[in-house]
Amino acid sequence: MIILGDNMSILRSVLEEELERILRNQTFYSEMLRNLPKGSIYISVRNDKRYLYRKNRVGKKIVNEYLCSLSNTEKAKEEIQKSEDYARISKNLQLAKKEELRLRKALKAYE
Amino acid sequence: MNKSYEEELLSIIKVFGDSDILKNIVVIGSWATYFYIKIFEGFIPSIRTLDIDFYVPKDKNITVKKTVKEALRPINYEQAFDTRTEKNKFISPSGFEIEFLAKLRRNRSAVVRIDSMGVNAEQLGNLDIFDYGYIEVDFEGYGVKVASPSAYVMQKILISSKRSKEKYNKDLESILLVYEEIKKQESHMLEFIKLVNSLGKVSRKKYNDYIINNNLTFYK
Repeated sequence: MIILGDNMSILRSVLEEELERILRNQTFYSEMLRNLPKGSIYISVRNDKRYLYRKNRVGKKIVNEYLCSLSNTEKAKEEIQKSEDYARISKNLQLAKKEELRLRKALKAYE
Repeated sequence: MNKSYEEELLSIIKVFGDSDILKNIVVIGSWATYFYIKIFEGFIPSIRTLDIDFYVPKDKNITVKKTVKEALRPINYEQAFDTRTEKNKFISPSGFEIEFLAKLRRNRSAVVRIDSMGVNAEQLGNLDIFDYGYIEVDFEGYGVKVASPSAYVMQKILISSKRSKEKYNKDLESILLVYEEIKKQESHMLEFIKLVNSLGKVSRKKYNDYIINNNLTFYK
């Protein structure tokens, strides 16, 4: 970002605005995650047939949920996409949280 | 400029250029001033936001190779929907936000759906100024349509009454910076004069009031 002048209040307002934005974005990421199934996808082979499962932790238990046969390409594709979306958005949420910390640290200088 | 921000901008331009989205949009808002370094020698833009606004002049007959969502996904942007207002934006974990805007239509609804691009563009007033008020600059081999300096200044002035105090002051600083450069180049100054003289009665009053209220020595 390019900032002209060295007015402390300007810098502070810019940082505050960015913090507000990153918090808003975290809410968006969390909402997106709520609409996606949690867990990782894996393929299990039985009798030369391949099946798609989702592994998920529920409390202390690991739950393996059957999703579909890999021959059902449409459904399998959809489930794999959902899993990839979940992983990517979770990572983005973590990055956004790191960005929040960075902004809060920068804002401390203006307290 | 922080290098990572410049790289982020380049990656956005690149994916939009490769998917033919770029030719259908105009960079407006304060990120437009980043491109003025290409036309004004020694110009230092004043950008204080990670919010990048793109104006979509036409909402029909747009041909693109990919939707905006598909184009932005590889560079880690998610499409975020506000179900209440139907507005949408594209967000990145680094804080960058991309929004699409369109001119206000007669129906005055909050958004207009642009199916081919897969976006809901927010409808706002005073944006038609960019229908013709843009320049094309070369950015790393991509032709980018950017708000012309005159149109940039004029639009900021015309929307000033709707801005918060903070944004009003930020805009004023940006207006002064760009106008100083407009004055130095005859072609830009002539464009600005033409723009002022083409304003309707209401807009002209807004313009006059703004320059009087801020003691500006702008063209009258």
